[in-house]
Formats: sequence, C-alpha cells, structure tokens
Amino acid sequence: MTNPYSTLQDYHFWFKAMTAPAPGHIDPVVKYKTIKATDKVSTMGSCFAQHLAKNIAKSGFNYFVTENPPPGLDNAEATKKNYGIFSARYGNLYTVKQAVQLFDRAFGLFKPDENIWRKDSVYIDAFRPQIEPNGFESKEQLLEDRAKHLACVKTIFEESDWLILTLGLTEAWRSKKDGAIYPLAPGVAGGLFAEKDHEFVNFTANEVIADLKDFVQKATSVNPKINILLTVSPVPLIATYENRHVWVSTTVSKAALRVAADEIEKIFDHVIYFPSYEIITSPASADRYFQDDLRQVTDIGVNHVMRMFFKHFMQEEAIKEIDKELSINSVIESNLDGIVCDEEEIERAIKQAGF
Amino acid sequence: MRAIYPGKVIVPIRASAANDKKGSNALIAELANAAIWITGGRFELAQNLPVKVIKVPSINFHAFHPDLCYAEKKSANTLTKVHYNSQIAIWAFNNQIDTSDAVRLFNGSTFKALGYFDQWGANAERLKLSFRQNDFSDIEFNQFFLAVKRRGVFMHSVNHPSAETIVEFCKLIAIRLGADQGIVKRKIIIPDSLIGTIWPLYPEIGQELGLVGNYVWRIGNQEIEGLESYLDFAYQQYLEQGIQPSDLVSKWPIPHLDSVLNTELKKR
Repeated sequence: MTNPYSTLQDYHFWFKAMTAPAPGHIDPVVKYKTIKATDKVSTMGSCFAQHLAKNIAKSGFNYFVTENPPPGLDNAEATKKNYGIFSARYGNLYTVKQAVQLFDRAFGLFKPDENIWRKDSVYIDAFRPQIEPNGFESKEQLLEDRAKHLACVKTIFEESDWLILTLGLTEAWRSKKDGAIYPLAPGVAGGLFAEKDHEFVNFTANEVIADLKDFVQKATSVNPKINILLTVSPVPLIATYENRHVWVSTTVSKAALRVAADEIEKIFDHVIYFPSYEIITSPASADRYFQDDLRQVTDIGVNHVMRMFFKHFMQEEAIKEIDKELSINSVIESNLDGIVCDEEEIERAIKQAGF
Repeated sequence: MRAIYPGKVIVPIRASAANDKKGSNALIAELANAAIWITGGRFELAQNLPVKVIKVPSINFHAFHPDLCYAEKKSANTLTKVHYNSQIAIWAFNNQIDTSDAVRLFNGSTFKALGYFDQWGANAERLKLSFRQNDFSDIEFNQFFLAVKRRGVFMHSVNHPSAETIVEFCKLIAIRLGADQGIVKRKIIIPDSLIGTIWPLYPEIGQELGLVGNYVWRIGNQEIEGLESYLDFAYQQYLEQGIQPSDLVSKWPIPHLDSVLNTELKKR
C-alpha cells in the first residue's frame, strides 16, 4: 500500500531532517544552482548580508565590487569608509522598497527631493547616512561622490551574474512628499525629523511582494542573465516604532519578508530563496546561533549558513580550494568583526539623548 | 541512581571486579542479597539468583572526539600511561614531526579527509543498536538520546558521558524499574565524577556539528591549553614511557591516516 508521502525524500520529514541529524548537519537547502567561478556575484541588503559578503569575498567566488577606494587610501581607511563592505557603497538596504529606489536612482528614474541632511557642520547622504564616518565637507563633495556611487550601482545591476539580496525589515521612515525611504529615521544620524515631512511606514506582506516583484523585474530588464538569490536576515529588530512588543514586531516583519521571498521565488525561475533564516532560527540550534544579546548571530551560526551555501552553490573544484584553506585560524577568526548595522545608531542616538 | 532513590541502598561495583573466579564469587555473594542488578555484562552470574537483572548498554559515542584513540607500546604490548591519545599526535610522533609542525596537521581539511566530520550518523546508529541489544526500545533510546543531544556536547570523551547524560540514562532505568514517566522532567543534579579527563571537541569538528569547540584538554585534572602544549605533553609522555618512534600503535587504526597526513604535510 502506498500513500502520497511514501516516495518523498528525507528532507520532507521532520524526524529525518531535523530531529536525527547533528545540529550542524541540518541542511534545508533543496533548491540551488551552481555559481560558476567566473560568475560575478554581488551582494546587497541588511547587515546580515555583510556576513555573506565577507565570506563570499574570501572564498573562491568572483565577488563583484564596482566601487573601489581611490588610489592612495589605505585598507583600514577604506574599510572605515565602507569600501568593500558591499559590492558598492550603498550601506545597508533594509527594506525592499529601498532596494527598488536604489535601482531607480541609479537609472535616473527617481530623484528624491530631500536627499541631503545636515549634521553639525557636515553633510550626510540621506540614503546612506553612515557611509562617510565624518560626513561630507560640502554638498558638492557629497553630490560628486553620490554620482560616482550610483554609476557603480548601475554597473552592478547591468553586469552581475548573481545578485544576493538579503531582506531585513519592513519598518521604515518615508518622505511624505515623494515616498523616498530612508535607512534611518531623520534625526538619528543627521537631518531633522518633522511630522509634516516624514512618516513611519510598516510594509505589509503584500506591499513587500509587490516591491520585490518590481525589483526583480527591473533588475532583469537591464540584465536578462541575472540570477537573484534571496535571503531573509535572522537578526531581530533593534527597535520597533509600532506600539507593540519588539519581538511581536520582529515576528510580523520576518514573516512578511519570508512570505514575499516565497511568492517571488515561485514566480521567477531565476530567483532562488536560500534559507539562512531557517538555519539560524532552527530549534535544532538550541539558541547556540544567537549571542547573549539574543539578537546578533554567532560565528558558529554564520559558519553553518556559509557551509550550506558553499556546499550547494559552489563548484566542486572551488570547494576543494576552500578545504585547503580550512585552517585552525580560519575557523576561530571572528566573522563578526566589522559588521556595520545602521539600526544600532538608533540605540546610540537614544543613549546620547540621555534616555 | 542514588539521587533518584535517596532512601535505597545502592552499591557500585566495578565491572572488572568479576574478572577472576574469586571476584566472580564475591559478586555472586553480593548479588544474592540484592533485589536489582543493573549491569552492562556478566549476566550469567545472576542465572540462579532471585535478583532482577536490568541490562544496560555502555554509552560510547565517537562523533565529538573522532581523533581520540587508545594506543599501545607495540614492543611491550602495553597501553600508554595516559590512556587517551590523538590519532594525529601518534602519527606525528612516529614520524618524528616536530610538535610545532604537527600543530598544522590539525585542521578542517585533514579532519574532513579522515572522515572526522562524518561520524554522527554511524555513532548514533551504533548507540541505538547497543540499546536494542540490551532490550531497550527505540522509543526509550530516543527519549534518552534526543534529550542529551539537545544539550550539545554530551560526552567528555568517547566513553565518558557527562553527568547530565548519566542522569538522563538513569531516568530511563528508573522508568524500567517502575518510576513514573514524570521523572523525565525532574531536574536532577549530580556531581560530575568524570571531569578529571575531558577530551576537547576540536573547533573545526564543532563547527560541522553546530557546536562550539576548543583545544583545551583536561587529563588527570591537569589542564592543557592549545595544540602545541598538548603535543608537547603527549610526546613527553611517550618518551617517559620509553616508547620509541614507530613503536606506538593506535588500537583503532584509521586506514588512510598515513596518506592523508603525508599529503597534508607536503601542502605546507
């Protein structure tokens, strides 16, 4: 006698796929495609995407960085100025709407009205407020840097073979005038918050789906060969503006993003969802994948994500190269160094204000 | 078992006590006065006694410590003074590799090639089989194994379970003796009598298992931190025991150890 489940593979069944394996052997990756060693791989998204970017950069992948530091800038200074953190210096893109607007700005389709903030005597790029640690000395300098930056963004969309987009949040701050989305609320890292100009927005699942569809279509329209790998950041919200508990908001936010990724993966053949969210939040990890603040992901969790990524998406020859480099140091080395999270600026700003 | 049954008289008897005729007779005499005998072997000694025998498996699990082995001085046929050894350290000692170079053999690439990353499934199956052979059902095994697995590294070494693991195991036995299933949820804390010797979960193996590892050994209440310190300690032990290179053999040989480690050495 047979039943519909009798021919299914082990990963369909909880005991075989979750209960029985060692925690580090849990492998929820079922859909994948090999990324060739020559393929240009770009990353963008929330701060968890930086873990992927960092590991991809030091692996056998061809990590596509279009915005490089000017000659003469030493490595430490370049890192401070966010060169190489992502494929271009866009900083963290938390919401899908931000990613759509980045595309539109790069291709001249959107020119937001409020785009420069003041902070003391310096100028801040409202769409990447942390990109220059000391701000820009003049508007002209900022605009020049931005023009160069957006040209690099354009190249990413036009030339990437793979774009890894990590979905982070649904909550954002928006210009009432033209709908521009800011990665940080005005007033946190620059600018001034005004109720008449700015509003809080929490994108619904349907809105995220629409934005993500828009993003995929736009990226594909300028680069038909592009593959898009979606991930959802497992890092909880640092704060919620909704009048509810931050954990409740986190759950709603992540659920909306996860649903959107699922819907879009079903629509487009060249979109694959990679379950890093599931690896980190899996009950099998028994909280070992979150640090003591219950928010930041531990090295061992990131390592699990990367092992599964390399196992399924990397060519066998390239994996052998990585094996050669698997030394004690490479395991112990902290993956958490140098991860830049804009939202942490919210906490800093609150503390600075004496709260 | 004393923590579960504080009012009962519980007498621990070493398995090796019944190795000879005299020891066997003494054990039979002891059993003649006992109501229950919880044992991992020599069941035949209770054949003609009214004592109730509860057969229990040994808890052996190598997935956390696949490099650990027993070894002997081949020429004398004697075990090394410190019973636990590293397979890689033995090879390095036999090949007269300086400890500072031997450190480099401990890495993810070597461990992968030696199959150290792939031990979990086979060890879990073997443990389940040993439970079955002692009349424990798979449900009972899962009740024990899944509870200890959740806690992370549940073994101090291949055959030394942690105190928490022993408690979970004793709960199973208690249920077999008629205790209520509710005992499973009872928090029982006992002193860990096996912490004198702890073999580390190597970081690279820990990473594969989703657990945090380290290179800190505890041998005879002595703490040895770092690979080179351990290798110095091991080499010193072998020399003090008069073991010459090539006279040291693992009791659990790994067939391709030689070729894997030779290849690894050449990489550098």
